[in-house]
Amino acid sequence: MSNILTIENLNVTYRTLAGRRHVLQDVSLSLASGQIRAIVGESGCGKSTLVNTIISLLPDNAEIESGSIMIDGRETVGLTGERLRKMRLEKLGVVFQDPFSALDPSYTIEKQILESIRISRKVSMKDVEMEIRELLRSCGLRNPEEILKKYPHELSGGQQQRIMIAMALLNKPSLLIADEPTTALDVTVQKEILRLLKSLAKKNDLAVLFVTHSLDVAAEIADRIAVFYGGRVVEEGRVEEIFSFPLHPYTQALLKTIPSIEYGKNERKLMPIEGELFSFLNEEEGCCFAPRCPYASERCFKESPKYRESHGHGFACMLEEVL
Amino acid sequence: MFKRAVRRFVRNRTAMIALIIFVMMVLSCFIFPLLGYNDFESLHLESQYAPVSLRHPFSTDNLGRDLFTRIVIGGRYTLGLSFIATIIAVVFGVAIGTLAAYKGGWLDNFTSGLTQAVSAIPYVLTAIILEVSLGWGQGWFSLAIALANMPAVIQSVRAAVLKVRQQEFISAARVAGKSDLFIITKHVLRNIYSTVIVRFCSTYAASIVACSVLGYLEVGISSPAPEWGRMVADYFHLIQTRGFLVFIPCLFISRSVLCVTMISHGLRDALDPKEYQHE
Ligand SMILES: Nc1ncnc2c1ncn2[C@@H]1O[C@H](COP(=O)(O)OP(=O)(O)OP(=O)(O)O)[C@@H](O)[C@H]1O
Ligand code: SF4
Ligand SMILES: [Mg+2]
Repeated sequence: MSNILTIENLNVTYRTLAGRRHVLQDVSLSLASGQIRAIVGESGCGKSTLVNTIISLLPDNAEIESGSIMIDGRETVGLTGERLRKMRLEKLGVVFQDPFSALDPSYTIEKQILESIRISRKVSMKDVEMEIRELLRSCGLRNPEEILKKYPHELSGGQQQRIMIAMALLNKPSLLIADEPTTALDVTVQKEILRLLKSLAKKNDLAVLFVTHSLDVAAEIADRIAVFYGGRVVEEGRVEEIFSFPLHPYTQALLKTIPSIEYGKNERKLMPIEGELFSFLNEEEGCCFAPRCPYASERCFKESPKYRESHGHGFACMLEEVL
Repeated sequence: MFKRAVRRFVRNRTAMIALIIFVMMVLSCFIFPLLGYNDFESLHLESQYAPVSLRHPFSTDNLGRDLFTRIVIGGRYTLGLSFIATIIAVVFGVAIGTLAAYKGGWLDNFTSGLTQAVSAIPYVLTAIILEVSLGWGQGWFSLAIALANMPAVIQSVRAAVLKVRQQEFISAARVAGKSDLFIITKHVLRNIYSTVIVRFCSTYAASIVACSVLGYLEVGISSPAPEWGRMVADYFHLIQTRGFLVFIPCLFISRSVLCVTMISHGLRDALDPKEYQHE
């Protein structure tokens, strides 16, 4: 298996009126084809910043301080203009959080899909009609002929998101990135979309980076999970390992907030862990989780924990007892 | 969606009446001169203030010139020059506003700073300043009015583009590998066209006012030309004795401004995107 996405020591900051916010700190991740990786963390921990860095959609006040992002063996940090456009076209598929605002309200679905194909291939609707219908069907839309004629606002959220997924797959990307693609949908639709993404990833040998703030959504879809806190990867490993042997106190706290009932009950979006959200503003010495950590010792406020890894399961905490 | 907007506009009685009146006014300016009502400048001192007749529907002025002819030819000046000004203002305003808002950064800061500074001056005054201080003659008349109206166009287009730009379909288009030019023409402009159309009408109304004021002050347009504002100034000394000479051009100015404003309101209501999204 080759790595489709390799991120190394990525550091990203935002310039704000209150000063620099160091939002991604030494983030390293890798993702192989056919693999689904979830990024899990509470609101504001930097997940979307990571996604936007990968797809080069950072706002003007953001800056990549250092680090490297390789997509399919090519460095993408610093790509601009035509080369960036090419890279996006050939390698990337992106599914956004709000499918309604991700479709242009002025065009029918047919028009939007055709335009997207036409960026790379000069074709007419006749040439690709069968292909498009097949694609929509494979994304779980049972009557493509009807749907193609409609405007986005005439479709349900689930249908819109399936169309977004279909459009993301149009140019056969090697990497699919989904930033909270099911958050705007209701629970049953959410489960269907997760199942769809999973089967598409397996079928097309796609690498999928799936961002969510819910550990149980992550468990449902992913092979591996990276837990984010304060713009850092605090724990990373296979889903089963994360669930049965969580090593970082933050992961443990997250797991405790999942009630031990079946998946699918809706009430677990927010993670009521005590303490304030990480602010990124005053960069202090020590572990980023220390102010909220139940095991924090004096040392935790002075030294940053090193990221340690064994048997493909890594974490950043210096509390030996949790090992 | 377009059909729906047309239907809604047609149902709006005020706007439709305004449109019909305005179209009739514009047509008269082109048809009547062909029917012989085309001599607006030669003097016939013997037929001063002729009685109202088919030949002189609005009587004649102090120099014996047919007032009706002067009005319809004057309409070509007032309505025509301000129409040209409007086209210039809207074309460049949309281009600049879209580019600034889409690109952001220093370009946007610069344009929004400049438009804000310029729009602190009343636009009619801006037009006068451009005409007078730069010594622009009649050839540049429309351009001066266009430039004076441009800040308002840029500002409203910019606001509309900023709103479209933060929607995810623009991000989606970018990561799908579409070029900026493609995104601007197919996605951005397509979603601000209602703003542009409404802005076009309100700019037209403002240009008619500016044109008349400049004519009145004899800035850029001078006397034998029957521009409506100029006519008001020409006859102003007769307002006590021959009031109709002032009243009629004034009526045409205000009626055209009113019609265009009504049309613009009707368009705004017909095109309002909030409405069609929920239908
Ligand atoms: N343009 C910006 N300028 C300054 N700060 C920003 C900007 N965008 C995001 N931030 C800050 O960076 C941090 C991370 O934001 P980000 O959007 O990546 O979080 P997230 O994990 O995606 O959260 P959510 O779950 O709410 O989507 C937040 O504290 C946010 O306030
Ligand atoms: S290093 Fe200390 S503060 Fe940080 S998570 Fe571990 S125990 Fe808690
Ligand atoms: Mg986010």
